Amino acid sequence: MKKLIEYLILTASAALVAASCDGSGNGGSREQVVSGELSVPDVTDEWSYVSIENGEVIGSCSLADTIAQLEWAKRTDWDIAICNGMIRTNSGASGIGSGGIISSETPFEEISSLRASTYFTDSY
Amino acid sequence: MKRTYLRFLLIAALVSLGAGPSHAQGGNSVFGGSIGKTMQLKTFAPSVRMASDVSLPPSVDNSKLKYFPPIIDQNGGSCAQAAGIGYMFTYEVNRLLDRDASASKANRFSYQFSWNFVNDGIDQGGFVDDGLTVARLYGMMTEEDYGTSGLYEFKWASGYDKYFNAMHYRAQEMYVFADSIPLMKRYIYDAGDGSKNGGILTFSAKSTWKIDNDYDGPSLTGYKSLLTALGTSGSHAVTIAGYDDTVEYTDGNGVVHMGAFIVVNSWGRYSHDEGRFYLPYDFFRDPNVDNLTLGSTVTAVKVCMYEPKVVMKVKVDYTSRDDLYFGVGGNADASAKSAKQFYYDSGAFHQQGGDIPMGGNHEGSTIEFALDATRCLPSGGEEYKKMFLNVVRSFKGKSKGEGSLVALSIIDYRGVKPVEYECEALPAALKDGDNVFAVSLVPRNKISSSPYKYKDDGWVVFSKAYLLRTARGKAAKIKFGKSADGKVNITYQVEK
Repeated sequence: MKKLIEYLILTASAALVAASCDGSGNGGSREQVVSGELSVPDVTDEWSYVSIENGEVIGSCSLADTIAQLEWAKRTDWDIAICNGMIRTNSGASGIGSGGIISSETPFEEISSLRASTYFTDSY
Repeated sequence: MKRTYLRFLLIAALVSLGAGPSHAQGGNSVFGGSIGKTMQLKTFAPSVRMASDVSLPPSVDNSKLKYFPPIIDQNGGSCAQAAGIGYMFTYEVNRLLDRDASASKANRFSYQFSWNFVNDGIDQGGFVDDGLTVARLYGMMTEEDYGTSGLYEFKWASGYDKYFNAMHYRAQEMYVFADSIPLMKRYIYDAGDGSKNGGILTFSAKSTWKIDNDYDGPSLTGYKSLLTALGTSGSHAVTIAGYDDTVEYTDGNGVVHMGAFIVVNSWGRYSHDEGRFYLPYDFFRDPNVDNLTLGSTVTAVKVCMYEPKVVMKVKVDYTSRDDLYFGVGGNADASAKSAKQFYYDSGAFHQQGGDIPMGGNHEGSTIEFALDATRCLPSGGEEYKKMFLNVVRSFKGKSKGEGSLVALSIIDYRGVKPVEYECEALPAALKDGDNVFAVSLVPRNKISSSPYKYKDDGWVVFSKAYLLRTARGKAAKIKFGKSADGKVNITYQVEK
């Protein structure tokens, strides 16, 4: 019995380490997160569409190609797009997804909770 | 008639080549020196065509038409602007639009607007074509928008809408007639093109003339004032608004001469006969009369309406306005730091107005105005993604000013609705020389996006962090960073 208890404690500890704890203020709940870095094409007058969840660049379309952008707006496999300094999220006028964004005054490395209480969605 | 027509073309051609008018009225043109090189009237086309098969009536009085404004009582030495803008430009715009000049101040043009651009901030005369150059390159402000200016106020109005309205009213061509009495009469009758109503003219003369205010000789137009001797000093611009072939003038030798022009002065309605007097044709015929005593050329103007497409809204706080001039330009490269080419020939705000604050002596140092950027737009399908304003600070006069560009935006009128793009990096102090400011024309309000940018206007990537919600509602944080080879790094952490 004692060995069984020790085994359970060790197993649980290992799982917590593997899950990369996030010290959020959400009542002490812990989030399983994935970290990464993407190199995204930054081409003048071209939207680059990115999936943060999958950690990949999905595709691109011209800033002037409004029809192609309407097609991108129907998709949920991208989370963010960039073009000419603008940031687009899959939300509001840009896409049918549940996306949104809000800036943080806290440096990236010091942000402990990934979830914000409110987000801005895209508009014209 | 053919000979006269050819002579007119010759004179007009001389003006078009920059020979310039000879009817100086005291003071120097503010367009002298290097700045003046872009301000000459050389692009005014000599295009009047006079058909010869018209029988002129014995009298015409265009000062009685609804297009002619009420008699002006001019401020200081502003006679050239009173004649050229207050009377002639006002009359011609209303003739073009068939409007009543007396119905509204919005139907009359402010000679003080043009005068305070060309008088160097002091009470001095100028030239009719100075004001017409402002009207051609910039436009002309209405009395309603300008209001009034005290003699020593030298006001420049403030307000984008006022200047934007002014841009619509333009001088298109200036005609200069030799002292051809038949041509002048024909222009007064039907503008030489068969118009229902003819035009009016300006000229200059020495102003210590003698006028008989009890003229009771023959007349079809009924005025009681007749000029009987030309002046010997002074210099003054006036307007010819009609003619009367029946007026009689007897010279010093007892010779009777028939016919006179109807001159409108700008010394108020109590001068002469309701501000008007007859100027006998004979003085223009006399070869002994020199050009300063009676200008040998008279000027007319053709006006047009103009629609600006892209306009800059500029707000400047500066204490000595003749230090500044402004250039507008654009670039198709969204990351460009300056314009492909700057255009400085706005016709206004060009080291003008003297060593006084932007608003004049009483209105303070901050004004908002408009600069037309339409002429610098590219052709051939190219589109500018950035527009630039260069505020050049170049010391002129006796005092050097200080100040800043307070605000700048571009208003694009090419679409269904006007779209305004703002410069975000203001206010900024003006240093000596070039001060280049950029406004991005990326139509953000036609493109859906978040309220955030990952680059500033200088194309530098922000390192700020953002909390992101993915398309499927997962929480994430991201930040942008520089990368090589035309790429941007996105560092992220996202819920699994």
